[in-house]
Amino acid sequence: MTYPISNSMIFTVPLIRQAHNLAQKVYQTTNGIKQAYLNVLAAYATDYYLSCLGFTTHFENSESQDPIYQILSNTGALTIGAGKVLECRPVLPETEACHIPPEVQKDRLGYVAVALNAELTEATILGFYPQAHQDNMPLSQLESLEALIEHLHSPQVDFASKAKSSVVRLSHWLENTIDEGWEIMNNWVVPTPQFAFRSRTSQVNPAIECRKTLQLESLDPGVDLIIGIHPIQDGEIEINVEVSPANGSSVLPDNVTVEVLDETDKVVMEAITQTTHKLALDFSGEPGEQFTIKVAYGEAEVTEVFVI
Amino acid sequence: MLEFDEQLRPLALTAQKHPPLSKERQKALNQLISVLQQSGGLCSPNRTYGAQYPEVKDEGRSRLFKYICENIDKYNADKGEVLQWANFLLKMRFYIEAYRDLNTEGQSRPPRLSLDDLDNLPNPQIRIEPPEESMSQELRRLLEEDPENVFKTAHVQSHPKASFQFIALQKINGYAWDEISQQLHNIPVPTLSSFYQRSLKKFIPFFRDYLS
Repeated sequence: MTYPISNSMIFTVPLIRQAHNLAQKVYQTTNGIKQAYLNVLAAYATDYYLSCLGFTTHFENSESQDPIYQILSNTGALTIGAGKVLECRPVLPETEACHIPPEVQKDRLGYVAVALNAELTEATILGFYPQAHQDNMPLSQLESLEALIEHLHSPQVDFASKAKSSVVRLSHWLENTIDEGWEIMNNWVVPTPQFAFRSRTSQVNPAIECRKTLQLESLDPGVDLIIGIHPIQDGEIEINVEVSPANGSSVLPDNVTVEVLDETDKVVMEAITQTTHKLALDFSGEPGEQFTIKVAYGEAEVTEVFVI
Repeated sequence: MLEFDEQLRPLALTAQKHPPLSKERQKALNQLISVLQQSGGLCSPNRTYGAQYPEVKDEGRSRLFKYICENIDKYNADKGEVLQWANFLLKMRFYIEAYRDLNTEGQSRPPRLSLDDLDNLPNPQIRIEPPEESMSQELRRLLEEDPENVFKTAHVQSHPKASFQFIALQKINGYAWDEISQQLHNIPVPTLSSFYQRSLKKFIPFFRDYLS
């Protein structure tokens, strides 16, 4: 197969049965949206390519495999990290442009063009666009895969290495090692539940609460994010999250949201204010687990990444 | 296949020289696979696989490319050419594994579809069993009823008619962006679509909850 671009470094992905099974699942749930089928194949191919190069991806939790998203929009989104999404666009035979629907032209790290053959047995990754400024981007303007790899390593994307320095290590708090930007509000001890087989003496566990003031453009003077942790049974750590106005006496406005996202950027808990003076969420997890807290108001949002 | 080896061997050695996940290794691997694929020198499976031949070939090669990328350090340049190594892996391992796996999965897995298959609806090979109400219908109903009055009140600034409810319903109805823009007295498409993209992201958890 020849392509209307001169680029020796392309990458062909065989579309095996597994790819089609994923596409068929979304196709069936959306009651037969053909574009959804093609979008899933394009995202599958990009996911395969990135995995070959050693990147971790979150295809299963991506918008492209979400039937709700495919009913309400035309998306080939592939999540590659917290808040990092690549858009994968299928390019059909005999076309010379890559169509990028308006509703996916923002909030994407880049747009990968994936050429599909008529039999849908092969997907060839042709290149990418760092940005989409029109609905139909000419294939001749594609940047190479070499440029895509550079892009994924660039500081703004930083896909290859998790920015370790900015991840808050909660377990270290229990040893009084607090990350920069956080201040201790309280530390104390809690008794552990008594288990007859463990010991006859009651045990206590350290508990600590720290605060960080977050700046949100639309909200003056910002909000306080307060995290309290203490170990509970079976090695788990209980985490209490509170969001309150930085100026202690006022009330948070309506529509401040706080979300807890898991490692795959999926929202697992959320709360929204309706004239309450603070928001609180509680959950527990095990050491090593990572989560993200996102606080948003209007257009502004700020995230903090934690590892337990 | 010497001329391909002149390209492939240095790429393999470059990849080996750099650590995994480094961009130098990734670029070398990308180039190596690309040359390998375009060389035409990869062997094909045995023709005796009959009707399963195309799938065995695709499945086997899918495993090969991934294996080479993840195990490039296992390639020994002193023992032979890259292409020889690749073909050895295909013939001795990946085509056989592919054939075996394709035949142990059972017949219930639907086969791959082509563009033509997708165009000819309804497709007898895919059984679309309509539940009482399809997801599209449920979403449409939720949008129309708008029980919490959130979809109507979310709208493009200063344009109450350009509500999330209106746009989402029109999209489900299959209207294109320029048609929707015309229906809304020519509010520019980028204004509508970026509002829509943001709002959709906010409403997704509510949709998921409602449908579960």
